Amino acid sequence: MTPGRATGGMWYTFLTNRVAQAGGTIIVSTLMAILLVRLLSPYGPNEKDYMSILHMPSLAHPFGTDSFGQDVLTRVVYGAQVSLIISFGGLILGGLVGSVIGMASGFWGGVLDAITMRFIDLLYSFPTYVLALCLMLLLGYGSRSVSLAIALVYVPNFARLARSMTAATRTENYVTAARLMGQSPTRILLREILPNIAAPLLVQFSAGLGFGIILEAGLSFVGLGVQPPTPSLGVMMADGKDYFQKAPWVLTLTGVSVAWIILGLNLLGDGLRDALDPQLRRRLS
Amino acid sequence: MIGSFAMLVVGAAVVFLLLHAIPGDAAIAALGDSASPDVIAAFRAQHHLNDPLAVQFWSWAQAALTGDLGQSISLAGGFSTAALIAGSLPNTLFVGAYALILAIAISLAGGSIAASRHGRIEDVLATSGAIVTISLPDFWLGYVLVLVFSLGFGWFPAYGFTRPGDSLAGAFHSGFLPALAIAVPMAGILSRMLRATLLDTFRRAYVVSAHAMGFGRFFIFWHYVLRNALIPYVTAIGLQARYLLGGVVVIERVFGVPGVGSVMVDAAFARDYGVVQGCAVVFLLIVIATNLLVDTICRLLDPRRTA
Amino acid sequence: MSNQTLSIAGSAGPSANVLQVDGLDLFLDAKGRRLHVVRSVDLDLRASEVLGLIGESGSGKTLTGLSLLRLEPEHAEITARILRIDGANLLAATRAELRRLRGRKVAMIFQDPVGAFNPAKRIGWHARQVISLRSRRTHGRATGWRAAALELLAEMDIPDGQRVLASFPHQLSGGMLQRVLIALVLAGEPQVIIADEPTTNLDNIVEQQILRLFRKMKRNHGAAFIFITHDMTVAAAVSDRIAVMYAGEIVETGPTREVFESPRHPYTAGLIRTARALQAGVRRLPEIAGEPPGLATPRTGCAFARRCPERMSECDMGPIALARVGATGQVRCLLYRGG
Repeated sequence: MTPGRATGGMWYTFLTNRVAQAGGTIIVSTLMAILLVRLLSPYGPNEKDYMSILHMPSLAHPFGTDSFGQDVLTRVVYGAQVSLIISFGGLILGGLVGSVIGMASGFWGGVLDAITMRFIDLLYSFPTYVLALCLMLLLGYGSRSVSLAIALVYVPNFARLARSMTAATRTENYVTAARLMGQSPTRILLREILPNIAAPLLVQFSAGLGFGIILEAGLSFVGLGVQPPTPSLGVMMADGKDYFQKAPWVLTLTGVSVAWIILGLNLLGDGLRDALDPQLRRRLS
Repeated sequence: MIGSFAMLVVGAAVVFLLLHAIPGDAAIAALGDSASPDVIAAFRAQHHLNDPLAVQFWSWAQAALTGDLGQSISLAGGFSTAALIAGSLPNTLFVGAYALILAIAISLAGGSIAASRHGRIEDVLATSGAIVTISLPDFWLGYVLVLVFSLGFGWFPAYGFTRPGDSLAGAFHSGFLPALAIAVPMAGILSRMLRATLLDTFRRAYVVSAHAMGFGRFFIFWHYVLRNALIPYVTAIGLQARYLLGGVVVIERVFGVPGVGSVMVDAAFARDYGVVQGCAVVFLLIVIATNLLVDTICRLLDPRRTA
Repeated sequence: MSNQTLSIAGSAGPSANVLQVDGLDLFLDAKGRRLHVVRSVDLDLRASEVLGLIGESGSGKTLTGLSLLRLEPEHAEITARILRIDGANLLAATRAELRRLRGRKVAMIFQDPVGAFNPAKRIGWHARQVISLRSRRTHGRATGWRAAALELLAEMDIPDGQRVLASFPHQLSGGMLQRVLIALVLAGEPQVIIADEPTTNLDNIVEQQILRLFRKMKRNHGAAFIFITHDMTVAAAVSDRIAVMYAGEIVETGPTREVFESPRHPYTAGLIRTARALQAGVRRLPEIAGEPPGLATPRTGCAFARRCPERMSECDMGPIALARVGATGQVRCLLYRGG
């Protein structure tokens, strides 16, 4: 079996999958909305207007205004960008580190495997926010630290997945063949194993991207994450909660936007998993 | 068991090292920039901040084993960390267990309905409901629940928590919204998982065999399908422990529940590393204990592992 | 009970058919495509008769068997002119009626005995549930299920029944579990038992023991059997009559001896040649070249034509009907047009 052809079939299934299409539609339309608002919005993300404080949603301000008279929709659009980049960065890093650890562990096995995986288990036993919070204290608050915290939270997820997939792939004929041909382990890992385990890692990535946004929002929400005036979605929600009873739209609509983006990412991940599933089953059986 | 204990010790050491690697002086952080050098020196000596890290950890761990987690340096009264945690832990455990029970109840119903009505309208509704709830940030959901059920209907308090020690009924009442906010996204994850497992179990030979024997549908669902789907389901609950307790940390802030999460966040703001460290280790202990419990339940459920 | 059934078997005639199947079709929905998996199958079974249903994997024999309990998969659709067991119309039966028929009138024994038991429950639990299910319907309350279970197990040559009842399925061997399953099936005293490759997963000695049990069951209980198998020698050892399935169709039926001694259909002949060679220990097995047609391939004429050594030009022209051969045999082949 050539890995490339199998993956091609998977992409076809993915693109024709309804769930994936729904997710794709949400993500693409959101990206277009972000672009449109950036081009057309008459307001800046930090443009204060003390004449229009806490206005209800209206034509001029579709999501209303916050306590500084800033346009909430404009801020949501900028905030979504900030949050997505933070989450994306965290997952790239966590995914890379976790996958490398997991692949090495699954490929070589033995004592290395036993020790690393115990450590990964330990990391997985810390509640998400507890782990993130300790790291924030160490690194100081701010976007970069939040990214690193997301990475740390996601290292064990990727490591466990990469390890089990690598261990399952290790005994496949094409890997054995590559070994017998005297290829170096690094080459085998990159050329033979990685292409075959990339898809499930990608599924984990898309699911993690959504949760990364929640994690950023939660940390910033309690005040230990991204710091104002950077308009991340969490910072805006933290701000919105202070006058939640007077102007519930700020927190509510920001949250709806967060949920909307995460829904799109989750649907994409589901579609990807559905497309992958029969292949995964075939490989594991 | 021994593995779990070793994990706890290593985990405590990691937290200890992590928090002691924080740049800046804990003494200055606690006393403020204006403190005189003498006061700082005295503070350092009192809290053994001049000893080597290994010695500090050793004495901390020894004391921790006897239940002494040191003093809080941020609170003027110098509360002991152990007392702070002891006062807040029951609240955290209560809200966590409450959320878990709600999540189990919702997901058992949702997953079972979706699977047994596979492909029909009930399945579509439950499945779409699940993916939407997974996408909701829990703390935001908390505020939306407050908006609807506290400010709207006035059924539940919007803020504050009655300690289960003071009034159990009060705790169930005031803890409902925080628990629900944590439970709903978790129920989404668990019911999706349960649905997939049930659908897989429906196709097993023993289920077909039970039908061929003439057993009733409900009997088969209960004794054959659900019973055998239970092991992966319980395992999945164990894997959710870190997310559930993570959610508790933030939700406690939203609803003003005086739990370990609140203590930890307050201590983090005050740069009171001793308390943060104690809380982190307690959270680690809860997750490890949960996993031990889950493992034991799975062992009991699976005769291939017990016998 | 068994004597009564035996006496019915003695009075052979069309009214004594416990199973009547006429024109059974089964369609599977696979990703929007409708696959015709079982094609107008006719089966008739008299009391205490054993029919060997032979075919290779994918020939539709298992789905045919499941259809007789209305346990076809969820995404399958079955149609038939007649589908009756002991007078009960399976096509019109409600879900509750079907449940009452299963186990009492028609029962099934599966290929994988290990997989047929609930892995979370002890054998004793299975026995108690089955026995109380049966007795609730006949004598009211379930009393002394254990004694009844031990008696059933003893009849299946299981001496240490107490230990077996206390065991979990994973603690017993496949052969043992198959005996237990047969014992549980017999508790319902069904008129028709469908055995789907019941010995395929067992080793040779155990297979012989189980086959002996089947012969004993036939003698003592008078149930009619459909014995589904891909193994000609197994079929020959247990069945009175044989039906050979190929690609969803029955291509030949007849009394066992007749089919073995003078197979008509080229496919049957090929199967028997292979089986004989296997028994004789021949090195180079005579094989039937090629593979059965895919389920999705549209079909005109004989499904076996591509592999047939006697292929004629008419074979691909159109559907071929079953033609009578000999006293009671039937064959779906143009070589036997007009008997």
